[in-house]
Amino acid sequence: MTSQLINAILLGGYYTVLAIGLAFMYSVMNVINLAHGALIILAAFGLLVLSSIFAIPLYLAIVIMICVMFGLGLFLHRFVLSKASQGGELLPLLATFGMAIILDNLMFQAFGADSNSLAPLVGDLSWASFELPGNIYIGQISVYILMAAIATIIALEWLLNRTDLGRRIQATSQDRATASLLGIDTGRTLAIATGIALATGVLAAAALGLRSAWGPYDGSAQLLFAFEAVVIGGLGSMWRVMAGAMILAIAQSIGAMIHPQGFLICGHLAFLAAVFIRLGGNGFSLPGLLGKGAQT
Amino acid sequence: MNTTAKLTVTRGGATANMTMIAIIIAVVALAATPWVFGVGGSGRAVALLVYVLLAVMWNALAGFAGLVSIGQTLFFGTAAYATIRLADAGVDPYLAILIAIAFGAALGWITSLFMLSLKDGEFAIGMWVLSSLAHLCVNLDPLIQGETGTSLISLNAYDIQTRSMITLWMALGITIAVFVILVVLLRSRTGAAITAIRDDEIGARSIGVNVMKTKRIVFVLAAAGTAAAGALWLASASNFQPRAFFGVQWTAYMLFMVLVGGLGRIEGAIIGAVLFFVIETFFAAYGAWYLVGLGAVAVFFALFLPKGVWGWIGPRLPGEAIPTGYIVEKSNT
Amino acid sequence: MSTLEVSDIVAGHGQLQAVHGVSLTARPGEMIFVAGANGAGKTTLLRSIAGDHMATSGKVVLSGVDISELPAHHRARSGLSLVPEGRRLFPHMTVRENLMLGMSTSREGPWTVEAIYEAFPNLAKLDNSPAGKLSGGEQQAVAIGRALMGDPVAVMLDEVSLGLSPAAVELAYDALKQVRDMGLAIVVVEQDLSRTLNTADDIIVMCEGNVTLHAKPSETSLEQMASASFGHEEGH
Repeated sequence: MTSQLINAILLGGYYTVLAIGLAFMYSVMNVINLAHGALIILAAFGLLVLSSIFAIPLYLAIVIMICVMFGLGLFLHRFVLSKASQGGELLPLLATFGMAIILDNLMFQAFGADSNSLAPLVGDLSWASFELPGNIYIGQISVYILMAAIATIIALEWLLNRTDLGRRIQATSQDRATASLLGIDTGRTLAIATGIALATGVLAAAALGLRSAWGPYDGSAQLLFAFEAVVIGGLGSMWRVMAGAMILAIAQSIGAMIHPQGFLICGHLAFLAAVFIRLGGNGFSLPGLLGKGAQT
Repeated sequence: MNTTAKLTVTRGGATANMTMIAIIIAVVALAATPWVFGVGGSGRAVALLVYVLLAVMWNALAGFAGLVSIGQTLFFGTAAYATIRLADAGVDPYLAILIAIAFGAALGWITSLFMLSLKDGEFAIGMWVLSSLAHLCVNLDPLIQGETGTSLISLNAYDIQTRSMITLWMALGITIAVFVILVVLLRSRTGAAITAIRDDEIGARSIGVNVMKTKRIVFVLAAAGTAAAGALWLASASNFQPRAFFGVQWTAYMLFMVLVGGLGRIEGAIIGAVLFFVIETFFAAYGAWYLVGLGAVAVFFALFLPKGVWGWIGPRLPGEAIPTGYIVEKSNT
Repeated sequence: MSTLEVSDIVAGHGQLQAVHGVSLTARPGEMIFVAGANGAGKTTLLRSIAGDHMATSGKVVLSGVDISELPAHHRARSGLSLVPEGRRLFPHMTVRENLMLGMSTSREGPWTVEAIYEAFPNLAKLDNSPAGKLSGGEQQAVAIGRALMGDPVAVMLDEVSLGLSPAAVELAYDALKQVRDMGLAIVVVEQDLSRTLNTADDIIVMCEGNVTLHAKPSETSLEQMASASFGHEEGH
């Protein structure tokens, strides 16, 4: 039981890295990037190509990919998001969904349907584990992923609250017109924010690649996990996203104990429960909703 | 204001009459397919009708109610599954389709109770979560045998000729019914509310439009229409594999048809569906590249031609092709 | 040379034209007042000058440079600042953070957070408070301070005294006079006509998007301004 809980928390660490970029873009730009999962898979393929074909050490490949994805984020904002958001709230959703379809299938064409893994690149580390009292073994990689999640959140919170860039991002996100009146280049600021969001996806990609096998069409599953973590935790701070990721992982682990198919089902149910709780928090109740629907 | 009657001028006109004639010709041609093109032709005609249903319904949702859902496969897949389940319980397969549509509407109503409180992006992907949940639950049913799937065996009670004819005519009847309901809805008071919400949701709310109720009506209609498409697709394909019905490619198709045709116009959705049908006929064999192309065209339209093909054709025609009374409600204010 | 020279601004919202060709000039150390009733087009005029709203036509020249085609953030970096109606502070950020955001213009100049606290002594003790918790007068002071932090050559203020206590209005104008005496050009939108008459170096009264009166305070009277703000063109 303890060991299952610890493993769930470690899995929550993975969901945290996965959700950070999505949550960051959602809170800064109010855009849910439906290509988030596909971009993470793209980054994972980038890591694979850099380290297996060009024989670059994985840590260096991660640094290179962070730069690449940051640049891709600037590009994505300039040529897709900023243009789409002029047409209302719906077009960014449609455009990013279309991008996800394009990316998924392009990666399938380029890399085939085979499963891939980054684990062979790190040798012994991939199965190394720490022993805790009570004969509990936990994978080292999972522990490092959790630490990376915490470090990323600390870094982002510091960036947002303690630096000029962070204050500009916040100002742009809260009131774009006033931000421009103060001399802030809001387009550039949001492009950088998109870059940062995509760059954090590289950590998620590395975590995914080291934890498990993945294929070109696995982006949508990652998107759903990330999204569920964000909704369960709620926006406001990256720590809440982490809490949401933990709850999601625990719910999934409980589900897996109940039934072999229960893992995903219980994760989705946790999402639904979060939606209901939020409805309750807004003073709604199911009977209330029914009554509201019947009026006028 | 007793001038209102005078102001209510155009709700028909030459363009609308032409459209009516075109629709009648199309309906007759589709109905006659079994005699002209045989079983294979009927199958393609059902596919076209399913695409029209999906496009018109997704357009109603996104274009009229401002609700982008990337999980309409919830209704598409669940209706197909419900048809299988009912048929397995001994219900006639065609009756099962009709019950599955009602089931889809009911599911839509229940879903609307909580999902409509989510905003844009959260709603969009939240629907995907629900679709995924439904997919997983369907896989749990021993009858379906996981991803292996099963067949609508009871269809074999009809010989293949009869079967393809009934399926086609049923598809045609349902599509016309859904279409008429939508047009009547748009021309009613609710239609005025829908237009108001589409133009300015906050403004609509401030003048007393019940936004939630209006969105719910559209959402339930879209759920029923999408469910009908799923059940008909099953009747035409006769095999039920969960992945083929809950798969994300359906959402990509809906997005493509509506974006290319023209978001917010029924005419656009129909044109989008026909275009998609033609493209699919010629390019579906290219597999993943075909999907890349669909995605790329959809993104291109979203970014550069957000009003789609109809956004270019529509303003060049005298009057509206499918008059839904946009002009009338101006004179009411 | 005038600091800010605005000529023939035409601006509107869709079909509705709100400003029909308005011109104004502000020299260094001069405080121009734009008065008029609600809906006269004053706010749209200021927003068009600042680039927050794109004018249909017209010219904005700042320190001899034509900035008419620049987006808002480049106009701010050229030294033109607008304190918008309702102050528009970032409520969750502290006073200091709000002030620091003013430095986004990257301009050289005398203003620092400490210099602002000297000009508005009541802000110093609020340094670390969230701006949303401040009184209206304090918020106005932060908003003016934030504009100054960008070291502008011209400052425009929309509805300075709206929603403020008389004492707070007094404080705000004392600060603005100090700023004017430092040589900045100031354009103020104000509904209070007697305040306008007492403080302005030059007065413009608008009605329905047109200038109905343009005069020095010594050449006009409260009655004349009041009738101009209802659309009677006098004096000119």
